[in-house]
Amino acid sequence: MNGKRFFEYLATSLLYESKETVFSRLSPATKLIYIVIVFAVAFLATNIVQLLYFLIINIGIVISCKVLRKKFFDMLKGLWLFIIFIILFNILVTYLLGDIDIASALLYQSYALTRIFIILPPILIFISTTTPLEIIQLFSKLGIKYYYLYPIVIAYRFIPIVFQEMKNVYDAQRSRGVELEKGDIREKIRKLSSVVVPTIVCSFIRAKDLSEALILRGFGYKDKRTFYRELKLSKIDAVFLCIIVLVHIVPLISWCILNSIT
Amino acid sequence: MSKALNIENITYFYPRSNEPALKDVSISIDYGEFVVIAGPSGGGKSTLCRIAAGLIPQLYGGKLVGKVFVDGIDISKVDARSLIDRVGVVLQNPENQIVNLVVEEELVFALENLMYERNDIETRVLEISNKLGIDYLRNRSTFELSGGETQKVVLGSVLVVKPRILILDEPLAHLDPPASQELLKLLYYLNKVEDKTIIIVEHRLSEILRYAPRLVVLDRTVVADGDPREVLKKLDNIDLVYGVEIPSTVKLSRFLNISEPTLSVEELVEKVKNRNLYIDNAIDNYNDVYRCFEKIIEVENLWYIYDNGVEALKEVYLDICRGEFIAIIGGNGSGKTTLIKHFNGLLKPTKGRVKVLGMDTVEHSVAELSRFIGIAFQNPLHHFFKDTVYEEVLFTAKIMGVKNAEERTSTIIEKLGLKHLANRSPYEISAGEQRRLAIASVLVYDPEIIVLDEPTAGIDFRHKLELLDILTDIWRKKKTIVLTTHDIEFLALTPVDKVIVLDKGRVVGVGNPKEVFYNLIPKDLETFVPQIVRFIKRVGLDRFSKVLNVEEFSKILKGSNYEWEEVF
Repeated sequence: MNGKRFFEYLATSLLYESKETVFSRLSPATKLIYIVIVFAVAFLATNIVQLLYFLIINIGIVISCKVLRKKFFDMLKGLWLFIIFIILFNILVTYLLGDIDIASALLYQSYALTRIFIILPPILIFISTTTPLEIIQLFSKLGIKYYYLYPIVIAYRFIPIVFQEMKNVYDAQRSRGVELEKGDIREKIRKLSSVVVPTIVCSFIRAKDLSEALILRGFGYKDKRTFYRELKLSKIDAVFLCIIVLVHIVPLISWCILNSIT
Repeated sequence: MSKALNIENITYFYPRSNEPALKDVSISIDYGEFVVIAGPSGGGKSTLCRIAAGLIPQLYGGKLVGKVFVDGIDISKVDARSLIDRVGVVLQNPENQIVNLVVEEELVFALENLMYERNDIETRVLEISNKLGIDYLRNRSTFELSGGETQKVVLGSVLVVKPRILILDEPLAHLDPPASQELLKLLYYLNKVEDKTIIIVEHRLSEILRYAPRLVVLDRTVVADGDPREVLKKLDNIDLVYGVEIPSTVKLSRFLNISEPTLSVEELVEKVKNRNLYIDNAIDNYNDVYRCFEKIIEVENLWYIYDNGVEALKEVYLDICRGEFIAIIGGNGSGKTTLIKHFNGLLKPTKGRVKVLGMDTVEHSVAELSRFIGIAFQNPLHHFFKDTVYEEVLFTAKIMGVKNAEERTSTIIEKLGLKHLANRSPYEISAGEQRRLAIASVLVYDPEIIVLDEPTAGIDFRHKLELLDILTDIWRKKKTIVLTTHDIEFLALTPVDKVIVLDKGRVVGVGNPKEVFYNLIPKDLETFVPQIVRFIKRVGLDRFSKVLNVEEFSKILKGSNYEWEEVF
C-alpha cells in the first residue's frame, strides 16, 4: 500500500546531490574517464568471473559513499521493471529469431544484465554529482561551442524535475480516484495518460519559461563565454584515476596475458 | 533626456489572435521611480513585461505597433539579450527561471555569458549575495530552496549584471507573508538607496502600496495612472471591476471618513490618534462554546519524516468536525501540504494515526478514502488530461461511480460558471477558470470533505470573490471544507469556523479565527495577521469588538453606539 512508483524512485535517485561527497570534488573529466573505462572493460570482459569481479568493484565504489548508497538502490528499484522487460524481450527475440537454444540465450542475457549493472554505478556518480554547467565547461575546453551543447544538457537537467512533476501529478490523480494498479492492460495504459499528459504539458510550460530565462540571462549573446570556476585536475583526481586504472585495466590486461599463455 | 521606460501607443496582437492583448498603451516611467502596475488576469500585465524585456515580439511573434524605449534604446532594433545590463526582468514562477543546479552557478551565469573576467565576477557576486543575504546558499542546489529563497536567487542572478531598471512580474504570487515583506523591503532599499527604477506587476496590493508612489491600472489599456491615493479615490470599486485587491486599510479609511485613503496600518493608526474611538454594547457574533457533533478527521500525535530526514510534521493533534469550515495557515514549508496529503492516505504517518470518518488511513487505499474526501492540489494543471472541460469533470464522476454522471456533470459545470467553456480545452482557459474546474471535478462526486490546497494562489481578486461564493455555498450545504492558505486578507473574508496555525511542522495555534488572530498567534508570525486586526489591536478597539473584515465592522457598529470624534 505504501509502495512507490518507479518514477518516484527515479526522481530521487537521479537528482543532483548537493551534499558534499568525494565524487563531487572530482573534476567532471575524471568522472567521464571513469565511465569510459568501465564501459570498455564491461564489454571487453568475456567470462562470468571477470564480469562479476567488475560488478563487485563498481557497486563497491558507489556504495562506499553513504549519500550515494541510497540513491543507487533507489535507481535499481526505479529501473528493475524496465530491465526485466528488456531482458525478457531479448531472450524471446534471440530464441525465436536466432538458432540458439534457450539455455545459451539465458546465459547470454545474464551477461548483458551484469554489464548493465557494471556501468550503472559510474553513470549514477556522474549524473548525481556533476552539474550541467560543469559538463558545458568540460566540452567547451575541448573546443565545442557551448550553446550547441545546451539543449542536451538542459534535457539532462530536466529528467529529475520531470519525474518529480510526475510524482505530484500522480498524487493529484490518485486523489480523484485514479488507480493505476487496477484493470487490464488496455485500461492501465488509458489511465497512464492521466499522469503522462499533465506531466508533458507542465514540462512544456517549464521549457518555455526556461527559454525566456536563458535569454534574460544573456545566454548565447556572445560566441564565447567565461567560466567562473576553474576546471583543474587536482591530486584527488589523480588518486582516483590511479585506483580506477589499477582495479579495472590492470586485471583485464593480466587476464588477457594469462589467457594467451594458456 | 531619456526615460527608464517609455512606451508610446503600443497595441499588440498575439499570433493567431484577433483580440489585442494590449490596446493603445502609453506609459512613461522616469529613472528612480517605484511603480506598481495592477490589473485583472488577462489584462495584459505579463505581456507588458515581456514587451519591455524585448521578448515580445522577438520570441513570441505576433504584431506589435507603437514604440518602446528602454533606457533610451529602441528595443525593436536590438537583441533582447543586449538589454540585460540595462533592464533586469524577473518573470512569473521564479522556480521555472532557474537555469542551473547550484546557486553559485546561477548567480554567475549571466556574467559568464557576457564574458566577465573571474575577478570581476567574484566581486559582483559577493556584493549582491551579501546584499540579498543569500551568501549562505551559494553551494546549495537550486531545487532545495524555499519559495522566498528561490525568488531572491533569481533576483540576484539578474542584479549581478547591475541593471538600472528592474521589472518583476507578480513576484509576491507564491510567497508567504514574511517572505513578501522581506522582498518588498529589499526592493524599497534598491529603489531608495541605489536609485534603481522598480516596476512591479501585481494584483495583491495590500502590502505593496505603501512603498509605491505610483499606481497604474492596466486592463488591456491604461485605466488609471497616478498617485495610488488618487487612483483609489477615483476608482472606488477597483476590486470588483478590475480584480485588483483594495487594501483593508483603504477600506477602513473610507469607513472612518478619513479624507485620504491610507495605505498602511501605521498610517491609519497615525490618522486616528486624535480621535476618541469608542463602541458601546458591541455585539460580537461568535460563541466561545463550539459544539462538535461528529469528528470527521482525527489526527493523533502525527509525525512525518521524509526520506531525506526532514521532519515535516511533528506531534500534530487535530480534530475536524462534520460541517466545519477549516483553514490551515502557515508559511511555505510549514507542513500544510504534507498534512493534507495524510487526509486521503497519499502519505502514511511515520508515527501516530490519522482517521477519516473512523477509517485509519493506513488500512485503506487512497482510492477508498478519496470517495469521502476530495482534494484539489495547488497546481490545477496537474489534474487535467482530457480534451474538454466537460470530459474532465465527467471522468471523475465516472471513476467515482456517480449515478447519472452526465447529468450531474452538466449541473456542476453550470453551477461553477463553466458552462460556456464546456467544450474548450482545460489548458486554454484562464487561471481562475482552471481553479474552478479543479474544484468542479471534486464537487461532482459529492464527497463529505473537500480539501483545497492554496486555492487563491495566482488568481486575481475578482476570481477570489467568485471562489469565496462557491465555498460558502458548499459549506452551507453542510459539507466539511478544509483549505490551506497564506493569503490572509482573503481568509479574513471567509466564514471559517476554525483556524489551524502550522509553523515548522508543529501546530502552534488552533481556534476560532478571532481567537487565533487576536490572541493565539505567536509573536513571530505577526505578518500572518490581517491588516484590520492589526489596526484594531493597535488602537485598542479589541476591548469592544474583535472583527476580521470591514463588512463585519460596519454590521457591529450599526447595532451599537459609537463615536470617533476628534479630541484635541
